[in-house]
Amino acid sequence: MAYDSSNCIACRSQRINKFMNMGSKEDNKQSGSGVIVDFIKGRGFYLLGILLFLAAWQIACSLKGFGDFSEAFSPLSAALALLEMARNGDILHHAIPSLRRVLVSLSLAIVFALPTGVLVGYFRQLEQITYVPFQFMRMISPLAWMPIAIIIFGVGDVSVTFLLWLVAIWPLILNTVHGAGRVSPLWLNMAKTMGAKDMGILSKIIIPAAIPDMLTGLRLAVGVSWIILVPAEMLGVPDGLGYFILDTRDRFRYDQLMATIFIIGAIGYLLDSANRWLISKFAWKI
Amino acid sequence: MAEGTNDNVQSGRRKTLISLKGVTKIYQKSGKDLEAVSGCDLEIAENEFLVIVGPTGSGKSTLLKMIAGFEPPTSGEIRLEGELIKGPGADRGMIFQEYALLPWRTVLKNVELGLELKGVSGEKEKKELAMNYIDMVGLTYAAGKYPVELSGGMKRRASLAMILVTKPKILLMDGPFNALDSKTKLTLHNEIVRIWEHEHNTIIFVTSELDEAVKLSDRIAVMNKRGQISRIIDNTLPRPRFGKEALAPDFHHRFVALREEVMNEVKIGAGLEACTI
Repeated sequence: MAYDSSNCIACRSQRINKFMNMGSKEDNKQSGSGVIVDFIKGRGFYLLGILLFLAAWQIACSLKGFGDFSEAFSPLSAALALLEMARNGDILHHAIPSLRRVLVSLSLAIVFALPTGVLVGYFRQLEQITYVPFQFMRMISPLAWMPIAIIIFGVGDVSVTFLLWLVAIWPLILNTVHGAGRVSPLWLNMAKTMGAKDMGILSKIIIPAAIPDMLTGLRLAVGVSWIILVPAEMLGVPDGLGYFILDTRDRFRYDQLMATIFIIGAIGYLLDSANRWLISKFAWKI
Repeated sequence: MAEGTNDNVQSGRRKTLISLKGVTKIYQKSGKDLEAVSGCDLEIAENEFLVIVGPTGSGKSTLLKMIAGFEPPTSGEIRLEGELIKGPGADRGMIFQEYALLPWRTVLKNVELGLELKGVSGEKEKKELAMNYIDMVGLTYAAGKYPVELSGGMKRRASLAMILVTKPKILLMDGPFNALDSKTKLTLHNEIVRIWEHEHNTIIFVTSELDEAVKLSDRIAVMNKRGQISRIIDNTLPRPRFGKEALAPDFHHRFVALREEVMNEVKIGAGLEACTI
């Protein structure tokens, strides 16, 4: 088959899972009490990574690595600010609009990009027609469109959603094109010898074959959307995590700023984990 | 040379299903014209088991692909029940050299594919029909498995069931049992003959193995290096051709004699240089 399994994220994560499970199975055979040791053996280096990261951050702050305000930047101050923000509702007040914007724009991007990608991938001429425009457009930061978005949609939610949509469609389209285009000719011939017409081939062969690539595209789209969200929310919306970054700066609350950065990172990580779960669940493997 | 109007007993009695007249296929290869199939005349009767043999590169597979409708002949015509063949169709189920199972579907779901494409929508009906053929090819125990979990022989069986379930009038088999171990091959030989006798379809079977050809066929068409059908040999060996019947001393003698006859023809055909115009 023409598929390189090492390029497939699903396969890689599967391999990691297999690797980790393998360790635990062997230990279980040796003794029944090795469960905790096992858990640490399997995940020890992940924990170590988190601890090292926090320690480096704390030490840099204690050594005044960020100038006079270093104390406020430390993980400890950030943790306290996080508690405060959880209590007074700031977290939810800003995280929910941010998530809403990303999810709305992603949904719109999916609705537009997947059918486009399938058609472009299936029809060779369409791929050639769109190749240059697509490659050209995808290299432009959506923030460059910001003034135009504001002229068309005005300041506010619609502009932000538009910019996020614009950044999310490219990885979705291009990955779907790739997936729909590399369908084995053998499968197509087989479907044809069973009497399949264009619609049957699209729905039974092309689309399912492209699902792993669609999910990879989704994962990339979620990643860039979440990254672009913060600057996009600095463009005149009254809430959201990007807005709150500027707000904490203006109030000299650098501990809250660090806490917000932490939240942005944490939500981004969770979104990506959700995507990885989708991939492991729905992407077929060879 | 080509004996298109071969008046053997079988095709004389049965209705002609497929007829090839002067079928030629020329490929362009690095600026040169390469004749893969050259002026083939052939009539295939309903419910016949025709095996095409010949040395590698004799155009056997190309001929089959043209009957399937994947490639048009450069000249000549192929007719199915009098109608010109214009493209692939559900009446001609083709089983390819490589297996074309969909990796995201289980064996059962793969076999159901043909039914879905035909518009059978009832889950229960689909499963029942599919299981019929999965049982027939002896894969009942593996119905829930994915293609990655199957051995080569199991994949062949699954491909077979996938095509059979669509009930094609004609089965086109392109070296379907190549690269299988001999035990699996023997089992599948018996199975395909049993299915053919049960479903009354017409089979055109391409292979380079002469034992296989003699064991399965009603007639054997031998192709040579120039892409011509050099001879069509009737196979009058009694059926069944395995088990107790195959142990009769006379049977063995006739089997070997026929195989030698075919072998001779293939040898002559292989000695010719491939034709380049």
